[in-house]
Amino acid sequence: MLTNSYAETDVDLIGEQVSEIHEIFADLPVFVVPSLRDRYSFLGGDPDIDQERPGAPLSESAVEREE
Amino acid sequence: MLTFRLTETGVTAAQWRWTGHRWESQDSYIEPYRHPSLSHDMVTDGASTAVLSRERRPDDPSGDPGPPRVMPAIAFRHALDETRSWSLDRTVLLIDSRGVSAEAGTWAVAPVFITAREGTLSGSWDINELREYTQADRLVDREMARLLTWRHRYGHETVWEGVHRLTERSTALWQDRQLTLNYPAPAYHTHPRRLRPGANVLEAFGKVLDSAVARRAVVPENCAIELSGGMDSSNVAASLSHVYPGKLVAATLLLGGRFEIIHPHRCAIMIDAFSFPHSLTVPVADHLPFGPGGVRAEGGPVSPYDDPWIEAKAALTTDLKARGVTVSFGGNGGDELGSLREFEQTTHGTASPLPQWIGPRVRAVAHECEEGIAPATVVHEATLRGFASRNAHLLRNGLWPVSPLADPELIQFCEWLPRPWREHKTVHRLRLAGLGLSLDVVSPLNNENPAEVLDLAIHKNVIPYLKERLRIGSILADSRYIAPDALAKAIDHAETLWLRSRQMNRALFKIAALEHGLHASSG
Repeated sequence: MLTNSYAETDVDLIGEQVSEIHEIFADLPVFVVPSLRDRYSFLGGDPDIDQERPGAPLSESAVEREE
Repeated sequence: MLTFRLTETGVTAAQWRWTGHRWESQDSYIEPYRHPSLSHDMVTDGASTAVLSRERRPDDPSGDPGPPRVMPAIAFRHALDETRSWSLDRTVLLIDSRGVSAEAGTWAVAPVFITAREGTLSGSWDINELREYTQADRLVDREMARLLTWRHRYGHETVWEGVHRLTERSTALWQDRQLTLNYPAPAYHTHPRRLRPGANVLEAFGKVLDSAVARRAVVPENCAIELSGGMDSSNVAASLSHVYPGKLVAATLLLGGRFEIIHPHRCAIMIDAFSFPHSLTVPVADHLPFGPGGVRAEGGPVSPYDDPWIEAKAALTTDLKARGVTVSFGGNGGDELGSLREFEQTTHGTASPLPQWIGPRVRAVAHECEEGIAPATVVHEATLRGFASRNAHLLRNGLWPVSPLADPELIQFCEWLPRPWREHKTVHRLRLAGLGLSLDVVSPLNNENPAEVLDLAIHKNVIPYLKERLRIGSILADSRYIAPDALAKAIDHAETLWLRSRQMNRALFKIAALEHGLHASSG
């Protein structure tokens, strides 16, 4: 169900970000619009099941789809 | 941040006056959520009027609302632009020649629910204020399908027809009695970057998080940290101890069960290491979901979007209020900081078939779950859904929630980190190790997990609730969102499973929470 892919852009400017943070990196950031899979399956796994937050009550059930 | 009810009469008259707790114009009102961490201002240039609500930064003056301030058009425009570009949470309500528009910021800490009917525009951060519009016989199939199939998505739709969630950066325009909601352009995110040789990642991570913790106007003695014992809240706690040393209350929900010894032990290590002078604990087992005496069992206003652990959270909130706490820091957003991109994930799941108990109305639209959802957000969608789940309860009790791990600058920094730093929360763990915390904290053999106590709650409380609902009448069954016979079988199966292995079908909790939420929050 989650199918669309990255819409990648060119390297953008750093903007007003704090330069100190950037000093630990060796290249410039590449800005992208994230895919649906990245947005809703952020820890990997089944893209069609809500992953919720680990620690939320339904995130680690071994038997949730017993039927 | 706002609750409002606007009519054409009141808006056209534009005779706004401050009553001491809200602005009124004839039969219309706008009521700000009063809190020391927020500022509210009504400004007007004579032609347009705006309510500007925002979180206060440390040096901002007190934000008590008062009578409308009249100002020249250029100053009005400046005030509007300043709030629209505010880096913390904000809401703008603008009344001008176009009509009325409501605008949300990037944080959407407590999203406004908004609806228009019969010449009235109504909105509130508390869905329970809109009871006359939340009707259980007018539900949105697509949103019901999202909740029942666990494909939770972030968007304008709620389960109630005509009642919308004002998502981050969205605008709602009420014009000629018509309400239109518009999404913003998708937010850009970034790919991982290469590190320079010798880069001090942990120092940079600590600095960015310390900055995120210190962005708001707070009185440290009135702040608490919800300390779960996990990596997320522990890192927030570490930064809080740097920025506001020796001030905060540490508050913990104790999971009990097989974590009865190790969980309080782990939290005690952190409380000691970070020198929190006060701590509070509430055993979850004493306040199980759907348990007797709890907010659900007592018929309290718990919506389908409220925190699953609302009973235990209510007990904790009561204790925090008694301590004078007004700001609650938490670890929301921490999991998402460690997220892997699609190209970094080594396993991809496949969709499972829908359970038998899913009813025909859900089956008919289950493939539409991605339609109408918000474009990519600045703060992760899962975090924003967490806000919608957790925060209304805190606001109802006078606590403003702060989630430093959802800070956009921190999100971007973590996106830049190469995968090994993000995976398994490595950067979180190594930072705590660098601060001298033991392996019990930074790399526990058994992570705390609420599954055991949730299973117990389902066995003791949720199954009896569902059985009773199936007997006396169920919104979900009567509306064909679930198949009652198949649900009864699933319950039987779950009870057998419990007797055999002390495991539980946790989908039953979702069904019960939705059923109860519809009963409790629908007009």
